[in-house]
Amino acid sequence: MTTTSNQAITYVIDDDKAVRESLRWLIESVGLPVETYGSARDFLNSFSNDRPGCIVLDVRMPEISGLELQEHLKAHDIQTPIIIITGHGDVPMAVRALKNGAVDFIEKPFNDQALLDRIQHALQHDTETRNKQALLGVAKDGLAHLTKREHEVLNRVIAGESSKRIAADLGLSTKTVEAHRAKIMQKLQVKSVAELVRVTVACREST
Amino acid sequence: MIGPSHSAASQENPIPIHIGVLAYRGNDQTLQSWSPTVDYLNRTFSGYHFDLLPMDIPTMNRAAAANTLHFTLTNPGHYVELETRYGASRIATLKNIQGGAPLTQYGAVIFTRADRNDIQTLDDLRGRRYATVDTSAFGGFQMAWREIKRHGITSLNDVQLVSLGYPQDHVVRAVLNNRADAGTVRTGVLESMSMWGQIDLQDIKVLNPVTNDFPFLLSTQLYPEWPFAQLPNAPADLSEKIAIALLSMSPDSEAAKAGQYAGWTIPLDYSAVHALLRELQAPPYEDFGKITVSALAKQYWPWLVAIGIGFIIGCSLLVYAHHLNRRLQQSSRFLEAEIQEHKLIKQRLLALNGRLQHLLTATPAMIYSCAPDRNCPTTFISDNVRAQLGYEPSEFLNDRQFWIEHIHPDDKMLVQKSMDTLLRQGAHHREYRFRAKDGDYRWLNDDVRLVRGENNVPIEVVGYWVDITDKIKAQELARRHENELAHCLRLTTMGEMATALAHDINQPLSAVRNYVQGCVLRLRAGQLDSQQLLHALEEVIGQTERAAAVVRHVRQFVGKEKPVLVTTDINELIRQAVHLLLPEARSADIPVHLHLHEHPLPVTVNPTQIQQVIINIAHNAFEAMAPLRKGDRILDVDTRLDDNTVHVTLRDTGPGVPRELLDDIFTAFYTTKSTGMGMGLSISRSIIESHEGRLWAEYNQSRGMVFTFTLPLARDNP
Repeated sequence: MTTTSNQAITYVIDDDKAVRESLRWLIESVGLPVETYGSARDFLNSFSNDRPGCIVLDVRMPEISGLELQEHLKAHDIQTPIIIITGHGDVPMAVRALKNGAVDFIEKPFNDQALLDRIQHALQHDTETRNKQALLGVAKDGLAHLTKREHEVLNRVIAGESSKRIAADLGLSTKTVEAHRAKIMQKLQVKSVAELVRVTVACREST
Repeated sequence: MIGPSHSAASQENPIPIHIGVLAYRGNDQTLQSWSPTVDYLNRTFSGYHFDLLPMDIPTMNRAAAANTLHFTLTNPGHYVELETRYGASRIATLKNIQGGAPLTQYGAVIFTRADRNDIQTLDDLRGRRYATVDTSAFGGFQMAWREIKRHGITSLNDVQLVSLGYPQDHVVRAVLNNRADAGTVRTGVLESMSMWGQIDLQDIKVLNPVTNDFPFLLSTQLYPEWPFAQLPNAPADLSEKIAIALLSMSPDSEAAKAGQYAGWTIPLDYSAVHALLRELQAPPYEDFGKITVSALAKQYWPWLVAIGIGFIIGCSLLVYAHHLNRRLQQSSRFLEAEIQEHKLIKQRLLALNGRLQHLLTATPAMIYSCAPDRNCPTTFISDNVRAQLGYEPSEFLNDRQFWIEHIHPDDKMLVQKSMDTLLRQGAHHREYRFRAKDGDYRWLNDDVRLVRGENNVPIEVVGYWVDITDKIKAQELARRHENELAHCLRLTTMGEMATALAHDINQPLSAVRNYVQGCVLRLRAGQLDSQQLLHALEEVIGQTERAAAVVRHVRQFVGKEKPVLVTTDINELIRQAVHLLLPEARSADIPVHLHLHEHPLPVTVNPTQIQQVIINIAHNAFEAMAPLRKGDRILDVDTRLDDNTVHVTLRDTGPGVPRELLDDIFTAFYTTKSTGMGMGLSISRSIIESHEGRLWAEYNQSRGMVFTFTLPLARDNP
């Protein structure tokens, strides 16, 4: 496994060794790092949720099935996308997988290029999600460090009130309000009022 | 008056025939009801003209007395009067329709309102208003009156009679409307009115109810229906013909419909009617019982003396005649018995002879004898050899080699050897092919016995042949059918396992595809060295072989081959069968645990069929366990050896067959599955039995079913 620590990785889980190794061969052909596991248990034992990636797994597996793994990850708030490979006649399982929020599923025998495309898409999606969440983390931190007065100002800014109006409401000068607003934007590491509004709303929604 | 004979009658000058019909409901009603019947007679008989004359009782009596009537149709009571007084004689009895049913008897029902608690028995009618159509009516009055008189009321003065006239419905309405306290009608009237919705039978209470098979409410005994009767001046041959014409009348005919009847039957016995009229002292018995013996004696004494003398002479003659008769009868009986015995002996002899003849000619067995030597030269053979094999008996008798030379070359050695067995054991049974006259070989079942003389010296061989060609052919056919059936079952089983098998083939195919696609991508990117390529291609070859192996297994199992017996290790057969089952076991997530005997257990079997049995039982077990939780589903297969018998046991943890159905599961077409034909266990059992083993099912100690089959251990192997 010649992967650098922050490169997105594909986890292949399949109890059939031949299928598992052939998938490694295929996915490595497009330069993506791959880790293979013979069972969901093996995977969970070594998995650390610190890198972007995606999981490719067979829906029918002994011990812990693909669906059970999916449910397990969901319960632990791990959002690594999953691509489930189903055999013919597994439609009810596929439906269940979709309801559980699987990113994708693909029916065997599948078109290899389609699988590779989906893997690429899933990796990109996970990378973006993780970046967004990193940003959100900073904003949340900033929000936690606002003073009471700054909170009052922020609420009114989000409500779309002008600095003048805010100043009148709070019995402050317009200049002071402007100073508070600059301080808030600095703490949340945003560069425009529009961004300030978006980040604040996103933070509040996610808590 | 003597009527002219039928043959003398002519079309131009028809002889008039008068039929008097009792018009109890008026002339118009009578004409309407009975004209079609008379028309029917007119159409049936040329040379006569039948006239319908509606009459009341006195008129008909006068006409009968004046000999102007030929036939009558009247109620049974009146008929009896005509019979007694004017010599009327019934030729047919009406099949009347009462309340929708064709009946030849009727009675009367005496009734009151259901709410009249004060009237419970016939005696309660004393002093009450009692409704009837007419006191001269037979069914409408006399029948009921007889019952009432029997129950205490003796005189018409004891009740308040209310005569309402026809139709009888008036009586019913009067009782229900409280205009009368009780009443009587003929049977069927109440039910008919109820059928038309005119009354509710719940409102009626039957007095003196009679319960028998009669379909209607009834208070009296039953009497025959109206008779069609001839009077003395009816042409004799015509009566007979009319009787036939009436009896053959269809219930659908216009005449029957108009008269509301279903046809005619043979004349019934009217003695019950006589008895009734005597009891009621009604005509013709109005004087019955009124005259005392002394009055009679006074009036008729000369006649009585003459009758007395005649009676004594008659009695003497009778006694003498009786004595003679007895002697004659005795001797005649004796003679008859002798003749009978002779006849019996003759019959028995004939029967015995016939039986022997039949046995000799019709039996399929050809009886023969021959000299006790290897070629068995024939010394006698029954004639039926001609019919059975086409040869003349003489052909056998004249040629010492005839029998042995006609045996199938493949069987000859064996038959000759069997002669030694016969000489040793004294009796023997063998089957072989024998060439018949037409050149075809027939299978003969030959049962032979050695006859020994003094000093135990063999004298002769006797035996019989039975042609069993048809039986052997049928057996072959049955075997072939069984093979076809088994083949069919394998196809079904494979069909049911198809999804799992498809998965098993898809796996290596996916792997192959992944490797090849990977190679393509790497070649395009210029990243593939020969070492890597070699690795990928080797993987591809391995996966292709894996797919091919699955296909090969399936073909072996499904393929229709001739049953070949092979001596093989049952453990190995089970491993192969389980290999076929693995895809299904994996997809159902059911582990299969093998506990096989440590040593090979050789059995002589058709491997495919035995595998089929294993797969069948396992397949059933998988389906039975499917609804269970994972971890609760296990299939255990074990083999053991017990006294030269191999036991194979498959144990599941499913819900088990309901106890009441345990006996049925081996029956063909019994199935609890929505798919499949229910042939599996039935065929499995016949497969095992054809291998001289047994297959049975029992309950697991804790849960599930245990299927066990046995096979004999192959003898020649260690």
